[in-house]
Amino acid sequence: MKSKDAVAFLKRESTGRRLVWTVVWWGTHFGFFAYGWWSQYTNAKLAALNGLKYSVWTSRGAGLVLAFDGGLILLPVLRNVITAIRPALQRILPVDENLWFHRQVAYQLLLWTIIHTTAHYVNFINVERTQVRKERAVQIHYAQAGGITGHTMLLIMFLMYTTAHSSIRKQCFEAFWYTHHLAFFFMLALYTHATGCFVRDSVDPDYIPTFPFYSTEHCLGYLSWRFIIWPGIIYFGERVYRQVRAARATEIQRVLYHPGNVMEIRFKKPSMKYKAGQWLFLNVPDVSRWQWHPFTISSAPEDPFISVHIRQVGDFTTALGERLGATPDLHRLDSGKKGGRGEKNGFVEVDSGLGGERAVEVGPGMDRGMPKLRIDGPFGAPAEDVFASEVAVLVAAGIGVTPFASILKHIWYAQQAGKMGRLRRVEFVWTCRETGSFGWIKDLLEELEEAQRGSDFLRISIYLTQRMGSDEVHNIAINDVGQEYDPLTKLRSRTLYGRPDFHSFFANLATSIDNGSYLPGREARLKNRVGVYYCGPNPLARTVRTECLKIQSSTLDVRFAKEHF
Amino acid sequence: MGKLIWHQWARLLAMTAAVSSLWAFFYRKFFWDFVGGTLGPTGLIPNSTAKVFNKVIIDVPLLQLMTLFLSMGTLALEYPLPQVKGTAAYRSHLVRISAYLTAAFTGFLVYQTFDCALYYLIAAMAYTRSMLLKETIGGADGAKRGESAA
Repeated sequence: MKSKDAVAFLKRESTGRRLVWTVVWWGTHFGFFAYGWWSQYTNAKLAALNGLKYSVWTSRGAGLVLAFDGGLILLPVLRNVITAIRPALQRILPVDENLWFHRQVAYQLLLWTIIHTTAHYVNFINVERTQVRKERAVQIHYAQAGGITGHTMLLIMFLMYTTAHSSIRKQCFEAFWYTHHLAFFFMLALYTHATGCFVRDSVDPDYIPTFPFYSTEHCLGYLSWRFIIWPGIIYFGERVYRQVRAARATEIQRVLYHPGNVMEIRFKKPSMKYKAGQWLFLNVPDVSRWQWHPFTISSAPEDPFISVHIRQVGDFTTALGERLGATPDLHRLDSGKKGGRGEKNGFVEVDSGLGGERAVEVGPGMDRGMPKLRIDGPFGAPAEDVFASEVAVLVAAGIGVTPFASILKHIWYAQQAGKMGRLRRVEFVWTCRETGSFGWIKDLLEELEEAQRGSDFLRISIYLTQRMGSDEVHNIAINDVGQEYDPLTKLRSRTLYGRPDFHSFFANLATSIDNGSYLPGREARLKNRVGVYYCGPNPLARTVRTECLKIQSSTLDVRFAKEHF
Repeated sequence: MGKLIWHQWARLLAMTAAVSSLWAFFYRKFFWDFVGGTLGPTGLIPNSTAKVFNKVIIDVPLLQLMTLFLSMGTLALEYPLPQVKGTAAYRSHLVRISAYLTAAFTGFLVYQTFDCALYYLIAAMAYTRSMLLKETIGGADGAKRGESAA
């Protein structure tokens, strides 16, 4: 890192929300540490233990911090709870940063584990040396509950943290995901860590025959398990519930193969209710029994089916495509014959009217039926509250367009029904590298655009960032001039070439809202809200966020939301 | 689905094990001194065998130094140091497995590095698996070995 970068990094980390977060987060941890230290230090009942001095104060302080973090670690992965309470929660908490928070807790767990364990190594050696208790150090380590559960947790952490490292997680998600289920044993060990009654005022551990099997009169731990076990119980319940929900009747209706190597699965699941912009976990036991993959729902809640668009990039998606008969070969073979329509080799063509590129309905071979499909979800996404602002700016990059397919459709249905809430205008910006990937959402955009003719409710801007050969450029230039439709997308909106300039985009938006030309009659509000919704890679998210927040003013309230996938 | 490249995972295991070996220089103690030892008022009284080990653990921290030396080697090999990258040792599974088994052995004798030794053993096992799968370290599948290796 260059020194300039380092300065920029420090500047970013030490201002605004990040600074508040850092202070609160570390402050809480050191606060717990200090309290744990102090409560041990001043506890007259534990005078014998206090003979061990600093090491025991440190281990007790760090132990309290670990109890706190052990209680926090599962909270951000309670997906159903978060989805259920997000409307109330997202005003105060960035609920979609849940995994980021999960990692922050994990980092703290590691740090305080090192401190706690180091201190205990010193403790146990000194117990042996001073014989404050008549036992050997190894007995405490490997024969008492505290030691056994502690070393178990260390080993589990060793395996979990290494497989959760981004390099391993990205190359083999399963290795990460399956290893992470060791968390079950980790949590059990955590909740029972103090059952050995190490912190006591009696000579021997005071075990009793009834739950929790040690007396709280002489065993003077924090009894933290009474509080931190609840997230564990709720999480366990959630996992059971998710299994039950996933097993409910689900039936694949159609599978469509779109240009750009994208397949669309349309299915029915009567028990599932969802909102536009949400996502789900999908599992096909035929392809892989245990793998659950997240996909954005691309249909609107009003649609008679639920659909997901899946680009075949990874080995799971490719294998799924093969199982469903949606392979690139088939498509190429089929699109080679121009103009034909109807049944051909058992496949029914769906002509989208866009010339060469068509969506094709596919299916598994004659002798194989549609595979069993299991769906877990839906889970929340920030775009649900799109009707709460006058202007919605939807920014998508690449495949990140999927949630907006759902949202745009949903808005269209809402417009038909005249239930638009505060929403007056929609800006849809899509940055895309290649023309091929336009294919599958083109139909939808075309439909929406046709429906909007004569009104300026929806504005579509598509940016093509791919480099083009001179032939292509000429071809476009010739076909573009004087035509009603864009030669590439067949939309009325012209394709723009190059990267979008978000600075001037938002500046123009702010100006036209302020001078009243953008919102006709301005719907007579003193303060208008612009909701910016983004889905795509992170670096662009930062740019969009910075640029859109710049136009915040006394008459303009800007909210930015990012979807993770 | 999603093929795990074992030696890339083993690399993280080995580096973690290496770092965890640093704890053995204070409160030096022979792990197995309880075998045949008796508890006295000022701690454990070792038997004659343990006294030999106490010489190379407590009087001179020889075993700890060996583990430390192997751990430095581990970090140099795994991070890796630019001088080490691409050498025959860097590409070798056997060098790693033997070094880590040695570290595991010396580690198992010292009180604080017992867990560290276990981690080394697991790292060696992961590298063995990688070798059996005929993965090549620093080869095509190892092209993305850590950012520092780029």
